[in-house]
Amino acid sequence: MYVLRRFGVFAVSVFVSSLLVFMVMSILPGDPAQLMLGTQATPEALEELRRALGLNRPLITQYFDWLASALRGDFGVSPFSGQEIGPQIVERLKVTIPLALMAVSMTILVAFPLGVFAASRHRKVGDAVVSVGSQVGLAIPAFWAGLILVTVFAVNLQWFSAGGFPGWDVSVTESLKALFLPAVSLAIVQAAIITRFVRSAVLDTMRNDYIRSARSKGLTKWAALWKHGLRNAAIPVLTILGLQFAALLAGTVVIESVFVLPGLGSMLLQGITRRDLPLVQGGAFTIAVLILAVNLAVDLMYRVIDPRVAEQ
Amino acid sequence: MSQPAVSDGTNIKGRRRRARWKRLNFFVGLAIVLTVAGTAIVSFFWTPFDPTQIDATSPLLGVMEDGHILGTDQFGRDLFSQIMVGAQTALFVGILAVAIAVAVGIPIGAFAAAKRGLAEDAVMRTSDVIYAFPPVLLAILLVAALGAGTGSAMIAIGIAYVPIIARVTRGAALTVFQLDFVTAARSYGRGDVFIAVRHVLPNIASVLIVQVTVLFALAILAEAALSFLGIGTQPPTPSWGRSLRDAQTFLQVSPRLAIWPGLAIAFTVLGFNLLGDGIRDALDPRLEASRS
Amino acid sequence: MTTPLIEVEGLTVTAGLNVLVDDVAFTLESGSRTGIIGESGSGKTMTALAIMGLLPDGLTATGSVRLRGEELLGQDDKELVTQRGNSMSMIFQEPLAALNPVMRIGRQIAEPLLIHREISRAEAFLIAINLLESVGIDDPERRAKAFPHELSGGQRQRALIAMALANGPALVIADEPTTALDVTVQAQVLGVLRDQVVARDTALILITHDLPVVASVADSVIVLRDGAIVESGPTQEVFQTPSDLYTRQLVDAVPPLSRSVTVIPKHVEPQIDGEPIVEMTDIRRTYRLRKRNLADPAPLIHALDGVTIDVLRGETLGIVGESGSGKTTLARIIMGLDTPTSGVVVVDGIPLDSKQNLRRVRDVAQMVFQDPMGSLDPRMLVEDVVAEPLRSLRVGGDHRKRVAELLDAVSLPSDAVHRYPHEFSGGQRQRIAIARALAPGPRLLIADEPVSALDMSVQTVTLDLLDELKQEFSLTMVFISHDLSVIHEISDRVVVLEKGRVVESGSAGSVFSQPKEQYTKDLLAAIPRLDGSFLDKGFVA
Repeated sequence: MYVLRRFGVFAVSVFVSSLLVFMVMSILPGDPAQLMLGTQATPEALEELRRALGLNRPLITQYFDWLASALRGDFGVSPFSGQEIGPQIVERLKVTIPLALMAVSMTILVAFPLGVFAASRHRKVGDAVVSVGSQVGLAIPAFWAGLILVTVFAVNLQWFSAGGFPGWDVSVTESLKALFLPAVSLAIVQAAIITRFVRSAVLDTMRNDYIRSARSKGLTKWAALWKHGLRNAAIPVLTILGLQFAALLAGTVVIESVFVLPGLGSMLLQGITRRDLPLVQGGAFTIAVLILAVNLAVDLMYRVIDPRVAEQ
Repeated sequence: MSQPAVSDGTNIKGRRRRARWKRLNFFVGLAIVLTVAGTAIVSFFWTPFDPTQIDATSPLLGVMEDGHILGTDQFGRDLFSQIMVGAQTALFVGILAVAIAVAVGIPIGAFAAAKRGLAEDAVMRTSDVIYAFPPVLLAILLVAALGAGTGSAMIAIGIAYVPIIARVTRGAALTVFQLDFVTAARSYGRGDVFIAVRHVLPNIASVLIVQVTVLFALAILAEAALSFLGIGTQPPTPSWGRSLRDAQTFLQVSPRLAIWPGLAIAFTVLGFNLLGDGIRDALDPRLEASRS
Repeated sequence: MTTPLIEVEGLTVTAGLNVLVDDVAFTLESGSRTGIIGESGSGKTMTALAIMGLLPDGLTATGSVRLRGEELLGQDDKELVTQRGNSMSMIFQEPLAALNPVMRIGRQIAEPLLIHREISRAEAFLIAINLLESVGIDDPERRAKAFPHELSGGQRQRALIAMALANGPALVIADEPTTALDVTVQAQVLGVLRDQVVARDTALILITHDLPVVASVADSVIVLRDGAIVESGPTQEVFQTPSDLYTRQLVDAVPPLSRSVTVIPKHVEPQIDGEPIVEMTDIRRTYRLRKRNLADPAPLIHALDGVTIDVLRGETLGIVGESGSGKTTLARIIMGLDTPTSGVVVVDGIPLDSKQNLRRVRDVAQMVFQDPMGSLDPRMLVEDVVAEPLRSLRVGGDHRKRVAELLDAVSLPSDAVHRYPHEFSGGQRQRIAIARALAPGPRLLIADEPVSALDMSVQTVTLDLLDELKQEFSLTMVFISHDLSVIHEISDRVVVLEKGRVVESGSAGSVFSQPKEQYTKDLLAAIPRLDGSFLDKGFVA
């Protein structure tokens, strides 16, 4: 029942987000045709483009037409480049998804041990160092971190290239290498956030009565944390990981632009600067569905970790 | 803070040390925020050079060269002056974006908490979906629709943060709405609006203040990101994000240009985050009893 | 001469300059059962935690705790774990919180076995099932595979007992093990606990604020106050002839009903003029739960299932019931805070059938809540708290003067007005809440568990105050509680609720001395008595 309901929520959310994406782009002030052609366009040219884009039909019709084809992966043709948008999105996802996964893995690898460590050194020097470090990490804009990393590792040390993406068919290792610095830039802030969160989740868990009762059975404090605490602490951490994955996808928009990566984010940005409406809609909707799918996965994972979820 | 609660289970020495450590967060944060605010105010009246003055004769000067404290950019504009004026943009965007988020988000959240049932479901489902969108992405889309510029960046960031404030408000308010003093107020005839304003809001104010401080930091980051992408603040208005965008082109020649605006952003964000942490610790409910 | 099981000498627990346990000393022989009693803040839990070596960070224990001659204080976590769960173990108050929510019961019970013995998982699991059976859990194989949230409160506490007994420890410390449970469940759990420690010749330290509970289980008792021992000795000796003034106060605070099954009530039959102020006819209140699966209809909860009750003018009507009996729903319905699914409620001639009438009820009825922390807005001065109903209901006159009178009536100092609720003790806060309820001059006072969160001695004083105020302000009172002794103390008439139905009602005298229904008899039989008579009566099945 829980699973079924959760899929229901997913479907509704996809629908609402499609509506949202469509509305933001269509209803807000500004005529898309005008925006695309600029202020110098002749009325005839504008009318022509509107007809080509189907903008003179009722909004409802436009929306359902768009949604129907979007759900089949058909996002129409970019009026700017004349290319099919769907295949382009697929191509771009091949950069963005690996980038995001790489950044998430880095985040987890750094944040979990650090957070648990800080909690274990609660109110001691180690905790303070981690706290200050994560506080600083939180304040660093990802794109600035990217610029600095490029300066140090690409311009000065020349270990990595400053940007660009060779493509998976050309070289898998080179492609991974091209994603490394961008992933690090994204992971810095994320790791700072998750570290703080893991730390406080562990500390909260340690205050629970069942930890005390585990200790009264003969487990040391840290054995009790390991056997009873971590799985409980994982529940809130999973929530925040899901949310942060969304933030991370947003971060790719900026980071792909720093590192000149041909991902979904840079496509979206291109669409925005060129006023390529169908491209932006397609890109934004894809990102929305990705985020919702991750949230769905997180919620389904709860069921595995927490037996109470199914009851609610 | 004279007499710690007996049941608190901590010793006084540790408590004092921690209290001092917590106050350190607050004061360092406050000092940074005041510095940034002070800089912004001073820059209205005075900057060492005109921040927008292009001087082809002295491009890319180093630190302290020719009286330019942080040197100049590729057009010979004084970096330090630009950063000073950039503080105006950052704070301005922060204040207005947060104001929008608060003005819309708090009533929505309080409403959703007070009116359980259908109304709540409708409000929260919608906000859940928007919440799933990262604010920066939402802001990018909104800016795309509204057109680039400081104003639309501000509005876009504000709208993007509405669901965050609404959710925090609702979560905190729900807890308070379930407390007996609210039931008591109902039993002597107070209505939902009175209860929300007089009983619930004061009791969730501390949570909201902390959230607002953190949002301020996030808004500054978002503005920087938008301007960095070229869809936020437009030249010639100085903005830290914009400066970084310009610096990117000259990274090979002068990586120094990328350092100062970034530091300014990080410094300011750090300040607001520390302030938020400091306020939260000061208002920690466990310390509440010793406050009077 | 053999070494005693436990020797505690000069045990002192401090938090910085605060002394939580002050020079406590006692000796326990194996197989003995000792009660440590005291009110909140008396240091009883800290004493137990100090013995187990489980004091929270920041607290330090000095003195000496010896287990069979071996000094435990000063041992670090790594050394102590060989004793914990093996030769000594502990049972905690809140069973749901004390069990790991994401681990199956069987595994949690098997855990101490796996820690301390060289046995396989399968063997440990089998022993765990046996343990569950021995603490009286039906169908132990199935329960062993359940998660904590799938068991009832009583089953969870039994599981915790099983866990504590797993390795046959020489000492079990039980910290308020039944405080969170209903009275009938409490009786069963106490019975199981006592029978099991007796059968295994395990020594028991029972920590509680509840004297009759101690009397029914422990053969000797230690009375703690402000961290120090004020009196100790054989349980009945201490309770019958307390030598210390404080112990005497505690004993005197025990309500008559909890003293002995043979002593029956002081009650004089009340003179009630017979005219009802509240008439409730066939009240039903159902809640719909979420669907579990598509095929079944959504489950319904019948909080109230056809309740008909009249409250007579001038009386105190006691409504007693265990958790889930619907007693709080009833209070909320009389106050117009909740609407019945069906049925008619008339309060003081006003039928509660329209919004307008609900508002009129506010002038007639006011309410006092259980938790004196949660029922006062922490951000309001006491003056505003008490004056709020006056403003809301537009009561005329000088509000400031009225507040002063009310605070005087509940015996609070007049300077209380300029302070915040958190500056007062639990009992004082409850007085503030009572003053607030009385402010608009109600004719009917609904008190929902008003003394349950208070220490025993404060309970008595608060009950007396309520009784006085009832006379002074000519009130009718509906007094709701899970605690039969309290209901017995204050009520003229009693209604017994079970699962949303009225089981029995009548004058307090008749219901308590000649209960007609089995459920009422069970409730009465389950009350622990100060003379220790209840467990000997063989209540436990």
